[in-house]
Amino acid sequence: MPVPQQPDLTALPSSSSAQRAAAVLVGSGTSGATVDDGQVLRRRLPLSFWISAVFLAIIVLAAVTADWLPFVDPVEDYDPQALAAGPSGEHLFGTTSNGNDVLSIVVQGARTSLIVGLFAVALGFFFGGLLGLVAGYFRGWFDTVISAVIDILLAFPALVLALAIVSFKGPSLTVVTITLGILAIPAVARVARAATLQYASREFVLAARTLGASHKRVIFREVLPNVVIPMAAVSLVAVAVVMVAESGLAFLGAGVPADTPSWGSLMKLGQGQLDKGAAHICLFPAAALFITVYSLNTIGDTLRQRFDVGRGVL
Amino acid sequence: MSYFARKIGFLLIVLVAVTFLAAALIRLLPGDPATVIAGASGATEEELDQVRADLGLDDPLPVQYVGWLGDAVQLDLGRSYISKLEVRDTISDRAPVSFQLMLYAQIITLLIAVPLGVFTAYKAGTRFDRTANGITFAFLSLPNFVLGFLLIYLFAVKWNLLPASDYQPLSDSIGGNLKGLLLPALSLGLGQVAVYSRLLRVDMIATLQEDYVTMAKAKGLPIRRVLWRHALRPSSLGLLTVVGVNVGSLIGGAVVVEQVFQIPGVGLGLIGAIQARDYIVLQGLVAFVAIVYVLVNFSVDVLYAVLDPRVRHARASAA
Repeated sequence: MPVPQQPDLTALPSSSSAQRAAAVLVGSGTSGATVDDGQVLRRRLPLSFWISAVFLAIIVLAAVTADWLPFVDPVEDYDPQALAAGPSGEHLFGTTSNGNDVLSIVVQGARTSLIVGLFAVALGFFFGGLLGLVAGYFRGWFDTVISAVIDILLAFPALVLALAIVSFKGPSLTVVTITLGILAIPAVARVARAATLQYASREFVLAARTLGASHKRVIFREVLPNVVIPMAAVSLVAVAVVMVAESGLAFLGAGVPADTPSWGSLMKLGQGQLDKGAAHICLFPAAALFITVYSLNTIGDTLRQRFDVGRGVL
Repeated sequence: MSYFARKIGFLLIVLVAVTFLAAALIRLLPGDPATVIAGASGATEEELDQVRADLGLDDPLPVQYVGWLGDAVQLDLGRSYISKLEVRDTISDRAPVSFQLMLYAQIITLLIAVPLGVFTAYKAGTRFDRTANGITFAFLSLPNFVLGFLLIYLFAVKWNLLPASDYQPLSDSIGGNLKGLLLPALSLGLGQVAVYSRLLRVDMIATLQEDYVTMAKAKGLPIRRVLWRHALRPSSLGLLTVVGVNVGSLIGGAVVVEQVFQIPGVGLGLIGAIQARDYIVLQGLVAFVAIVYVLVNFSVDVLYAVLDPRVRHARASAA
């Protein structure tokens, strides 16, 4: 129940329904104190957390070491004997209608997705986090303006803008990454602002100010360390969101260039084969995306719950 | 009613800003629209100038905006250079399709999420609660187009129960319309079950600890009645908010799902406009989507204030 417990958030003139929704996502304050939170503290990390961590480790490892692993080249190598062939000993995930190895594309596609996800989120969190931190700390007219701008920008369908920019600019890994990173800024700023608000008026901030600390010092030494942990949990979910967006763009034909392996373009290739007995082309990258997103969400969610409890105890 | 006056004032500012950005979109996107529109190679300098004048690209941005806005308030959003169709007609053809899809998706989500939220709150901490949470969370992690592929594979290819892509207007056949939109609506809706049911669960748990709920139980009312008649309504405000946000964004936001199932809605229109470099249509559709989003959010805020008087009056901390 974000509203009653968050008078700070909703009392502002610029607060909108979406902002309250953002507060829900950050897991605002006491609202996270559900009945079973006490058990979370005593329970060890859930099994789903470890499964997700293992999944994620495998995906990251495969993406990083793909070049040294005995995979065939996802673009150059093709097997004319096996066009759109199902999984076999030779091609574990089967082949595409061009005879390319699906497993190789999925592994190399993981690298593409991770690069875009990590760099775009880093970009979005750096600028969005800074904006949200400053707006939430100083409040006043600056906050009002920033919040209003965020509200306005969030009215635009981000994926459509990304699609437009990437298709007009021409497909490239850099363009996709920067575009998705910039489009993430307003959403990140909103979450960072909501998180900052919870601390900006706390006693230790007041104490630091009273002791003569500068605003800059208070923001970076007192507020930031508290905001970083929930934001880190959010950033994992954000990586998942960006990876989905990257795949979606590639599926729409406006992602990374055609010769860069990507889950989205593989799904696009495979959609036409769904009813031709070669569903594996579409379903393997789909499964890879799902597992990655699930793992990131689970780990992010577990950390968020942990953090809420920790704060409740303090 | 200073709350509403302030809200409406803010709404107007947001609408101006949103339409300004939409009008400026032609300039913000990379590339020279005049060259693209007049045909990349063959156009003479005169033709290019004509296109620039039509689009107002020669004028300073504010002048261009005022011109665009003047036309737009008369519902004249221009005409596609490619299909020669009025953008207004494109919107009135496509918006109802996206609206139906959004509506079906929300109905599916709420039909599952509300009972689930109520019961998981009642059974909070039990095995049922954790299982429901785990399953809905998995669906939340399933990107809607990935779920779409899975549903197509299962329902259309393997079991041959539903069409993979067969949109029929409501006026042609109600059954056909429902059949064609069921899989896309499921793709959009199932993931949101987790968001809605979790939100409702948290709010319900708080409500169930209220004295009047204890009182109702002590009176001997059946628990079913306590949950549904006494506790659900005061717990549903947070849910209402998020439903509102989703409704607003789904009208233009179902881009990928509309592409997967080839549903001729706003999303597919946006993709088509981008692929064809149809600047005028893109501009009109983006403005439409953004305006709808802003208006829906505004309505939710107002509805919220009507339902919960505490929002209207500058209220003290009500924890």
